[in-house]
Amino acid sequence: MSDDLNKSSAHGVDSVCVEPALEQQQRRAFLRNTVIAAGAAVVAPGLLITVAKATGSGDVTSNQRWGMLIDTDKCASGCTACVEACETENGIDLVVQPKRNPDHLWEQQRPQWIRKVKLQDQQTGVVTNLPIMCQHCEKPPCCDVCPTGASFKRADGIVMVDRHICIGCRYCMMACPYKARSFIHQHVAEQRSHAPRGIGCVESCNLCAHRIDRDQGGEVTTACQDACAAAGHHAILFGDLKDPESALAKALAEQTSRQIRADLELNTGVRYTNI
Amino acid sequence: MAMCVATGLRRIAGLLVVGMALAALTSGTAFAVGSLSPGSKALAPGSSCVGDPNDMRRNHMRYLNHDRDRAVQRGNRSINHSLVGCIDCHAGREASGTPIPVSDKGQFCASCHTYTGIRINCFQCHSQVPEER
Repeated sequence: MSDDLNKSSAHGVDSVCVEPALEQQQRRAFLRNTVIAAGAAVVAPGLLITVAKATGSGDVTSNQRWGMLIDTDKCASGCTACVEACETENGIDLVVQPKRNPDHLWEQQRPQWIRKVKLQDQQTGVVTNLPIMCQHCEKPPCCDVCPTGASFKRADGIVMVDRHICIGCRYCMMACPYKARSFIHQHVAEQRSHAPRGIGCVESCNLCAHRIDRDQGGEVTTACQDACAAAGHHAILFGDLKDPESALAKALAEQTSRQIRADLELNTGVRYTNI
Repeated sequence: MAMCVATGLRRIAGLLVVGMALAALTSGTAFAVGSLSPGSKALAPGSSCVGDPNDMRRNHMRYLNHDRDRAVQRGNRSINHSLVGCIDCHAGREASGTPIPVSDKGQFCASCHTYTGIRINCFQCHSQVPEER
């Protein structure tokens, strides 16, 4: 190999201007660096990967999957702490009812990321309360039907709408079995900085992604979880499904939990106990 | 033939005008420090933009588009160019301290966009004032 290089440098046109000694030096430096790099990759691939992760791009990875466990036994009837906290956190309370919009229409159309549902067993009369939000499916039907790719699943399992791409067709709203998505029908005058919102786009719960992404270490919580705990119910547990040490994974391992509409085989990230 | 000459001259004149406008933009003479909104953090002594101001004037829209996709789709908040960051630094304030929306008449974003005849739709969805609640 080096013979070939020597030959080409001796007779090649492009090497005329380069001093032979200098060229030799450059080639040596190049070879040395290549050998060092190859050696490092062979000797310590694990180390290199760690370094790349530490200094790396900061993208979310599929090493995590965010999810929730909701204990419906602890969810109190009449309590709307989670709903209110979600609305404040994500600026939903800043969307005002248009003057021409009658109350009954507004109640149906206003954006809502989380809502309380009451179930009653018709045989026994037992009432169950539960909050329902985007279930963050592993195989989200909203993403299947989205014609522009605006509905997408992040690497860490959060199902979101990229409203820069959303054209407001609302196919995803029809596809969602959980009725989790809302459409913004009117101009919105005021938004929170981390929660942009405007006319003509669909939106839904993003598991407080702004909190996750701005995480400065320590435990990440969602606004609804905080509010539920502050109200003394502790019905909502948020965490990383893939981390066996997380409180969520431990709780899921201990008790029976259900996915709503498990028959659809969407493998939801939000699970419920005692329903 | 005369028509062709006339068109050619017009074209050259047009190019000259565009060239002069670009030169003015890049040299920063057209929009000097005066275009920063009164009361904004950008005017604070020692503050500097996330990039070279001349480059930012010309390319901020590309940087913002690039980084918004990283932030939204990949959850990457270690980005250098965020709209929230722009607004935080560049929103002007009234004497009382109340922030003024950045695309209000004469404010930081509007001053250039009006001059260049650009209509943007960032603020249909994004907040125009720094978060203060």
